[in-house]
Amino acid sequence: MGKVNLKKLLYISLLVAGAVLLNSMDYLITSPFPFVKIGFSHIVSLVVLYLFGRKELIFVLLFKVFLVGLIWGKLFTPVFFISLTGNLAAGMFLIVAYRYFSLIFLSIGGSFFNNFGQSLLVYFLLIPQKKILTIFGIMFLIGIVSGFFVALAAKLLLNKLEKYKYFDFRMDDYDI
Amino acid sequence: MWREYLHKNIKIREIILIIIIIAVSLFYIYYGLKNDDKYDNKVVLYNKGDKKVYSLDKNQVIDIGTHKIIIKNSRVRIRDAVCPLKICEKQGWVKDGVIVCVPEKVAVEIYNTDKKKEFDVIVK
Repeated sequence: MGKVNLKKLLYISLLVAGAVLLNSMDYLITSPFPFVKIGFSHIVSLVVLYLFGRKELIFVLLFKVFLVGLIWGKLFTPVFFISLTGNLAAGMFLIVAYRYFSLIFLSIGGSFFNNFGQSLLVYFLLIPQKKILTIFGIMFLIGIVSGFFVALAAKLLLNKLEKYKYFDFRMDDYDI
Repeated sequence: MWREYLHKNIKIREIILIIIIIAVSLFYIYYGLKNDDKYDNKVVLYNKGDKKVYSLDKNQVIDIGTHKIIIKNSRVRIRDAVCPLKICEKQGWVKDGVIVCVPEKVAVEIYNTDKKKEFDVIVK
């Protein structure tokens, strides 16, 4: 175990806590509609990607999925694995594409790849019914709208956080 | 550092991304709604992994040991089930849809495409 950048660790833990809170809010708001999720917690994912980097993004996503699974009693159920697949697919898209796309299109693409990874998992492993694909097609279209609004919220948050100078961390002084 | 990503104009690759997303979603909707005419007016019986196809027009009784599946007048029901709750029996006559018995791993899918048979009786 090497040196720990305590300030950075503190900020990342706060952002993970915020992501868990936003994801739980998502569960509560959208619980009457079984297939709809707005994806508030990806505001935090985008902010972490822009302020910290790729390694930290995967760290935050995995911690968020595990903590939400623990809190809502869904650890290692199919819902948990669907959530894990979606978050990892979106995270991979963000990592590969964030040099090539602006924030709004990055968010829209992330929402698409979240749903796309989930659709492959659900169709090939969990529910091999063709009608499930229609629901996923509608979800891709709604995801364009919700991804746009998530990007706007992330932009507002980034504008606020830019004032603070605490966020000028470099990648290489984080070895835990 | 991040600010320069926000204020660029829309690039061609971003429009291509949106077009790909819309194309994939329309393909998904089309593929999910497309009717599989392979099973028109057929009854598909899944029994613990085995799959058999029967005609819906022929009246017959299929005995698979745990259930008796009765096909009569383009309708299907299950009798003499051995499972404890007998949900598949209580579902009664089914014209179009699915009957499932979870404990015995049996499912019956009914593909009734004849739209006239949606009504029991038409009173004029």
